[in-house]
Amino acid sequence: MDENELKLLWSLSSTTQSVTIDEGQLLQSISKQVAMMERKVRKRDFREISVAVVMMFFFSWVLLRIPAVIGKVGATIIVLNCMVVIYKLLRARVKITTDNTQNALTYLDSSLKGIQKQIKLLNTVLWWYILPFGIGVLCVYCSSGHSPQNKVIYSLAVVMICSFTYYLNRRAVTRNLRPLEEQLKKLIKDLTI
Amino acid sequence: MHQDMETAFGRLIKENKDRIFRICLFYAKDEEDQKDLFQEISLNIWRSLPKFRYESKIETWIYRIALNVCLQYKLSAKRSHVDWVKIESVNVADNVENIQDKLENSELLRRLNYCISKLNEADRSITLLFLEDLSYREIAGISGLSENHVAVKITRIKKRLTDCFST
Repeated sequence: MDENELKLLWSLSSTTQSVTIDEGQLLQSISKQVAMMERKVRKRDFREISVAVVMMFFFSWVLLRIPAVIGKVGATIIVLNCMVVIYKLLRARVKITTDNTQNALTYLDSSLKGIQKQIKLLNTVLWWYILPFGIGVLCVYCSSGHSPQNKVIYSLAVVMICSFTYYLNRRAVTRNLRPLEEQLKKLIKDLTI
Repeated sequence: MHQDMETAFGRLIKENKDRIFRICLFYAKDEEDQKDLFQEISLNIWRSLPKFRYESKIETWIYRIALNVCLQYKLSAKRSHVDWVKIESVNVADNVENIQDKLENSELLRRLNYCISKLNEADRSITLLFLEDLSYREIAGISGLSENHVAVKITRIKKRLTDCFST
């Protein structure tokens, strides 16, 4: 079978089926989809940022009220860390879109870079999210007047929550992002060899 | 302005629906997925329309978007599914006039699809553009490879397809 026969055969694949489009309905469907996606992104951003803002205000108040130095240090760590989280979330939101009018190689390359940034973000989550919050919360609680037994139980609970959060992030990297990164790398390699 | 864009979009989809649908047939197996992919490509065309600068042919630009959407679809297919608002704006029906052609060609088409499925994802994308009768220059513009590289790849692909057909 030669080149022209292959192309002719291929062109027949769409003549055996007829596609009818209702442009009005398609536009309506697209508008709904765009609105739904924007709403979803707005909700997620609002949820994540508002939690950080509420925590920032709450621990600023704690910082002013708490007399012990160790408690003040803990509250300061949390307030500063909330600022870092808000900054990181806002920055990630700005850079999340990949222009799909680029050629495939550039598109795949920027998708790969995006995935690698997400992997880096989650791989370092222990240092910029879990540890500062964990240490801050422990400092604030330990400086309060609770019994030593309560302090031990509370500290263990905080360590468990932090470990679980870390585990979830690691799992997201190994289950979702790494395979996607490998697939993208393979696709780029196959395209360029 | 918005009205102009809606008119331009409607015309664009009407003129290119078969082309877009062939790409959907290539990347998605069942009819629901094909319709979803069609809507996904249309959505991306709609969102990118204000960025179109007439520096390339509109068909090449559509192929570029469609290919990127389809590659993304293939990559994310195993993880999650696009949750589309269900509106029956795309309908597919067997073309009665071409039933005879369909019967005669279905075996060959099946064979062609089988041979294409043996290629890797990147070569499959190049094969699609080649079968769509695009020039090497256009394929280079869509894929991001040089024209020479495209020529080498297509020679290799043609040989593999011919070998597959002859076995």
